[in-house]
Amino acid sequence: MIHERTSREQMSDDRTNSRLAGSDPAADPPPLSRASLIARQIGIVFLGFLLAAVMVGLGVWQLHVYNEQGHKQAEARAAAPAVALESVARPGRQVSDEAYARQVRFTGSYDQRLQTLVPTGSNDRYRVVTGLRVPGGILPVVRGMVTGRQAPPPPTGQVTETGILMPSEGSNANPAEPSAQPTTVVLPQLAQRWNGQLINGFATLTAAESQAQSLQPVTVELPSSHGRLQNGFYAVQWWVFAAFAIWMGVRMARDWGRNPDGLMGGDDELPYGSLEPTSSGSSAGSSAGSSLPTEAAMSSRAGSDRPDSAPGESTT
Amino acid sequence: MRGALTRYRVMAYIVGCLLVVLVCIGIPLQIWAGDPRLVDVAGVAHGWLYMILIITAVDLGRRVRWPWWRIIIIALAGTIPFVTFVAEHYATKDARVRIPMLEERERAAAQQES
Repeated sequence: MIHERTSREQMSDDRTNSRLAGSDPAADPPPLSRASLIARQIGIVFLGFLLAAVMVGLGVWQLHVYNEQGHKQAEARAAAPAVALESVARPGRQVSDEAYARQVRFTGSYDQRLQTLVPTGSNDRYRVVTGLRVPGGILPVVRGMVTGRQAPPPPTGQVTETGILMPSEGSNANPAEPSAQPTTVVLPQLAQRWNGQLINGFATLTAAESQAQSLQPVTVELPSSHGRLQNGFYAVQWWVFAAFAIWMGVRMARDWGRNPDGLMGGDDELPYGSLEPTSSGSSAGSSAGSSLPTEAAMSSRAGSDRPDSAPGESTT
Repeated sequence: MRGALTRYRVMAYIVGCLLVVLVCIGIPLQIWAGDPRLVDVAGVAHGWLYMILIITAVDLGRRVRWPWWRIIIIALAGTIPFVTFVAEHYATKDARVRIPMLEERERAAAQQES
């Protein structure tokens, strides 16, 4: 405690010395008030940094919340009641983005010849993709996942199932071996091997339906939609505010050093003094002595100080 | 100085109106109509304009030698609907008292110099 106080006094002495060396020796209040002023200055700068830290945290949190919301929206979409496939996607036609990443119900019969295994890239597991013949074309269906290259045959006859419709997956950008099978469902590749019009998308069966066909369920990676731009904006805003809080703390400390009344500005040497329109402002002025000249003292002071102050500084 | 006051006042009105729209129209729309578009747009716009408001307030404050607490009041008032206008009213009233005093002193100083 005592040690801290002496160090503060030392700091105040340093400041006093630099002040004395500077231009305006008359503006120095007594050393004691200077020490408490420095304590206040340190306090306000610290407060600025504290606020900034909170704001940076809020920005990070905002980013997190909005990402979560994006995921939730995608999940809500995927959980929405299934729509009939023919109402959103027809063979050989464009499919609107609205139709993807949601559940569709489709009726048709599996063609066992149109079955292929897409490696997942880990543990010898494969996605089983089977062509389902629907009126007018073929819908590639990921029926489930299997360990090893033995996939159970698809159910025979007419089936009605539901799954999440997704657009074609991109081909692997950099396959480990050029000859390796791709780990994605790429529709143009399927279209080359399968004869017939393909629906512009593929369905992944629901977990229950995969299990009904004695396959392991496949988790569909849902695209997180919407709100990305906003989350970025809000987060950046908080971070700019954080910088602003630091700046304001530093400026407040500086202005306090120049005029203990807590007035802003004071870059110019022209001593405006306390400008409180009411008499309330004079309370601080009387204790601080010469640093806050009265109206009467102002005019004489302005005259004597004028040659010292640089030109152009009075332009506010 | 007067330019700075005008800039501050314009920003205070814009931010004040936007905040009222955001709170009185945008948020009910989001809660009861499930339409977050207005909140998304006005919320982000308010954030940036609010920053400009504080910058104009600090600029004005430095010119008319306001105490710092006034900026803090203005900054807080900028987040409460309708209070933004109240803060603007008192800030303008105060600035209008200070500006002639400062101008008077500037004139006196200029005369001393010549």
